[in-house]
Amino acid sequence: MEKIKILLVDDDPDFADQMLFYLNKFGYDTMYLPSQRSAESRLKDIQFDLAILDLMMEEDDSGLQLARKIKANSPEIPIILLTAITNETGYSFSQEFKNSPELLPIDKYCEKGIRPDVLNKIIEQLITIKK
Amino acid sequence: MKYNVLIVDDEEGIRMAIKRALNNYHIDFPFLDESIEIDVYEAESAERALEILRDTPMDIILLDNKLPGMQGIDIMPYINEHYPDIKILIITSFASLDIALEATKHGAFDFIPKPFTPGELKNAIETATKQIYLNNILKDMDREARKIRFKFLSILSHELKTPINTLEGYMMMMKEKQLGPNIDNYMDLIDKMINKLDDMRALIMDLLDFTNLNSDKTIGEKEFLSLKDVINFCVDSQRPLAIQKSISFDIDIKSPLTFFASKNEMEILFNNLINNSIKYNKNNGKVIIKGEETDSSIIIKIKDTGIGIAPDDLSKIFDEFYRSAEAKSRRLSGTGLGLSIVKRMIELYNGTIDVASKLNEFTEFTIILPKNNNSNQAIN
Repeated sequence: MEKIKILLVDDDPDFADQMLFYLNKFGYDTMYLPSQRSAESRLKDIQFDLAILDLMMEEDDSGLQLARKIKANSPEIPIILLTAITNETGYSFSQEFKNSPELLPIDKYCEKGIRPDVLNKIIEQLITIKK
Repeated sequence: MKYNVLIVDDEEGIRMAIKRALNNYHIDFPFLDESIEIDVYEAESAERALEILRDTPMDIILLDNKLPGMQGIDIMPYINEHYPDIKILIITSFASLDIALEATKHGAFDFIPKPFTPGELKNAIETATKQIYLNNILKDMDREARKIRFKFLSILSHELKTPINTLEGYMMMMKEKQLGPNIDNYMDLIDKMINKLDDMRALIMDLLDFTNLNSDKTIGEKEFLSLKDVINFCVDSQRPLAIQKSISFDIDIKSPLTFFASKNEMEILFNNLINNSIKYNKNNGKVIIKGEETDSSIIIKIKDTGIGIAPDDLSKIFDEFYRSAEAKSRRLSGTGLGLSIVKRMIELYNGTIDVASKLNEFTEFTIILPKNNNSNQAIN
């Protein structure tokens, strides 16, 4: 069986390190890019089954911008948006998301402190729905 | 800019006279580019005045003390409470000057004794206008300062929380023995944690420099010193870092560059810039420092042959906590405060700093420090 390939885009290399470690441990193939810019320039020539994006990179909504571009090309690819926004701003994004999922081009929204095994469950779910 | 003036007087003659005096009247201040125009409204009673206030925002009210029905003084507390920014000028006869004085104690801005000349009226309005204008500026400044403080704090908390989360993540990996039972497997991870801690320490040191700068206090006494010596001292103290990357220095400073400044501050300034020119350089790169002086200023250029700064980033590098995409993607650690400290430091000495760069080729900072500023400060 071919491994599932996950694209991770996050500008914090240490956080990315840890994420990649767990993703690999859970048996996924991974690809890491450090910015919205670098991801956009390579969207045409990379293949992946699922994307995990950090919300705030170059801009406050870099993750969302990137998500829109990914969905425009390949609407079937599930996207998980990761962010530390509640911690930092007290603004709960998940509530917004529940109220108007159609406005956000993402499949699942997660806080950055999420436990790796919980994240894995979410990935499994999204991949199964896709199939 | 337009200010609204409301005349409240039961005598039509007086209202007409005031209107005539203020017709086509505009106020010029030397500190303002545009002049302030006056729009005049009128009310024949205090009751009518309150009606007008509900619909139209006023800046100045010319309030007759003696009115039919409610008295001028009676509506002052109401106006002060509901429209605190409005300046009230009491119009009163000489006979009731006591009342007018009393009124100014209770919130009237000033009074105009009757009979008055158009000149006196205009003077009174001009004074009130200036006050309103300055108040508005102060309010804007206050709001702006609060916004900046809030932004600074929220970025700061982000900058401190991020490494804490990172450390926590690595520690969880160790606690759960994700890399097996052998401690040797964790060395890479531990090194990363130590690096993170170094970053946090650097951030705290930078923050201390930064808050000192913002308190407008000079760090250390000012004295006449040679910037050439300061630069050489900074280069020497950073040489170990340069040797690690095989970076060589090319220093061309002919005169001593005497400048009246705090040695501590000049060291912070040049340490930051020289440290950057090493950190963001390539292996086997060069740091080129040139210093010269004219009659009026000292010009210092610090150039590296490093990774450069993208045009998009160039305008933002002096912002607090800003780090270029290039620096981040190369995993070079930094607090994003260094250059904002440098810029503020130079501004304290009324100097300027400019940057030119080409991605992957070079970055060059040009600092100009005015000498005349020196002697000024020496006198003070």
